[in-house]
Amino acid sequence: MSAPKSRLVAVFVIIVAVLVGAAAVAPYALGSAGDTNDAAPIENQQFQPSTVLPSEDPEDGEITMASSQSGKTVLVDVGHANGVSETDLEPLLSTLVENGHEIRFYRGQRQELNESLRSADAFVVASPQQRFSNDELAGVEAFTDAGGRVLVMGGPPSVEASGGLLLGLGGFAPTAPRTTDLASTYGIAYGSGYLYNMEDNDNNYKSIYAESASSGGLADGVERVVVRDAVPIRTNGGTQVLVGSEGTTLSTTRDTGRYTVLARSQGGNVTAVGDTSFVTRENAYDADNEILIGNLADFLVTGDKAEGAPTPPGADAPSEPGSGAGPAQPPRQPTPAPS
Amino acid sequence: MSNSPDGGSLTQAQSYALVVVAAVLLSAILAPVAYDRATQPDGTVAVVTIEGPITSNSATAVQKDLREARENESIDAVVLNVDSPGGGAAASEQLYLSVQRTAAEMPVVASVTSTGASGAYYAMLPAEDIYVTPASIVGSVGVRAAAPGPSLPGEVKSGPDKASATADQRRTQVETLQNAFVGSVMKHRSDDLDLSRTEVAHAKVYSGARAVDNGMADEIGSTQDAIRQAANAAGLDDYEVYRKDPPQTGGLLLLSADDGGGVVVERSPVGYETVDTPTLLMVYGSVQTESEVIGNVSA
Repeated sequence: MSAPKSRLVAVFVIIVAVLVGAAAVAPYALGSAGDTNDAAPIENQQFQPSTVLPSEDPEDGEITMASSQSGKTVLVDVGHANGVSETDLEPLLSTLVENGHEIRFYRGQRQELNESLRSADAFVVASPQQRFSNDELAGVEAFTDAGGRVLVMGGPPSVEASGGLLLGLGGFAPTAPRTTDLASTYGIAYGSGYLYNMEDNDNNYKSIYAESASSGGLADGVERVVVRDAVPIRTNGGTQVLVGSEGTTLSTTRDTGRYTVLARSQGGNVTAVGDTSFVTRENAYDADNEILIGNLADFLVTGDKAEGAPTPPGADAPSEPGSGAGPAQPPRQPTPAPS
Repeated sequence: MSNSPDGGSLTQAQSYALVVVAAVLLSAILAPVAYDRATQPDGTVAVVTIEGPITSNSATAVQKDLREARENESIDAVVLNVDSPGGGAAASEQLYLSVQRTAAEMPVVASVTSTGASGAYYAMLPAEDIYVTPASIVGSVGVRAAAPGPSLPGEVKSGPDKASATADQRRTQVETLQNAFVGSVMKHRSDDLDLSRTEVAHAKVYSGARAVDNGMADEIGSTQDAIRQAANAAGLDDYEVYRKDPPQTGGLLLLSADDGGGVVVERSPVGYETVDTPTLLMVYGSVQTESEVIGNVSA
């Protein structure tokens, strides 16, 4: 009786061993992988760092002035709701101060603009959002006629929040710089839209390169600068100093061309830039921006302005009778007295 | 000889009857199986829906559907039913990779019912064919970064770039993602495209008809046409359609912060609602921000 029992146990063990063993070996024998996720790797060359990482230009250099002048007074306009703050202009203003010049701000509070201009040698206007009155325009014109230097800067309309956003009452309103009337006096016109370049840019389509189109003067030592928000400017008889690099396109027409970004007026006393970003500390060392800022500082202090311009109303020209409460407008040329 | 132990024996007729009954009973069990086999479709086309803004939550749900399609042996092809303006850049990339993995194993065809723009277009790039209708829109190959809000007064940060980035850094980030996005479009569609890389990077949206014309999409047709095309590509004459329920969306909030800086936050289950995380977006449509860096002209 004992023999059949042990035989039964042996048979049991053998059967279990064979079945478990077969289960363990079966996947290999049948070639079925338990993990169906084990798929072939997919190559995505377009994601590799060497393909996607953009090149970054080094930011170095120093802002220096070539001129040995000192003691000039530069008036900076902050009284026309300017879209550019004193902080934004700091690199230019610091350079002027470092080189012995004085900065004054026109805030539109205690003095008329023309009064402030009288004691200044140069005038900087960046992105004014309020228009210049006829008096002020005439004053600036008299100022440049007397040899004063004017730098006008303005970019495309900026979108500004207005009203109470929290209550949902406000909105976003585009605000265009009121540079047109000021610049047009000198044969310089600001265009509409903005400039972009999809091919040759500083890591964004709106960060275009502007290359020097003339030699010497404001373009001295400048190969190309980075402007991040520019409008084209057009001149009548002025000098194109910087133009957008090849492939620069105007947003409104989608036309490619060599758009002027910086121009100097025919008389040479007015410089207009279609951008305000290049002068900020953040961008001041991109490409040759620091050289351009130095050149603009030189431009501002190398004028030869006659004392006392613009003249106070009534000083050398008859005031128009019945012109109201406001100060009389000094005519550009004295009207010949009726004979 | 066929004596039973109880001494009884069947006649020949009884034996036949027994055999017939047994055969009929067995057939009654097997016939439906055989019938089913004969009428069973060759395979299944799964319809996976990508709907609404792409967030990491919605992308995970779609990825799960796609993984299921890959692992389920009865599914032979996938149709992406797309109606989304895109969403988060990282989530869109994840979807792209998941669709690409699926397309490596079985035919994938996309059908744009209304909008397949930006991140959603990215996700369907690996599809064999993109079906559109004349009024549906595709394209907007671009990236945007919302401006970060100002840091809280009195906040202490461990480093200058903690919780903020300079405009330069954000421009570089946008440019990097844009390179990957445009690179992917060129990788999958350069044979069909009439547009140059630069034209693609303009990030225009195209109506279905225009997209088929310039190669951003392949065919004008409905989702049914896309399903038929997917079945054809998988070699199925006879197929059934398995529709996955669209994932629940709504985790993406587009907020306008009180400083005017638009931010995107994902609704968090653990109380992070107060954290407005500026996010890189691949989205078509207006996100109200005061100053954002956009990787193209009209993203």
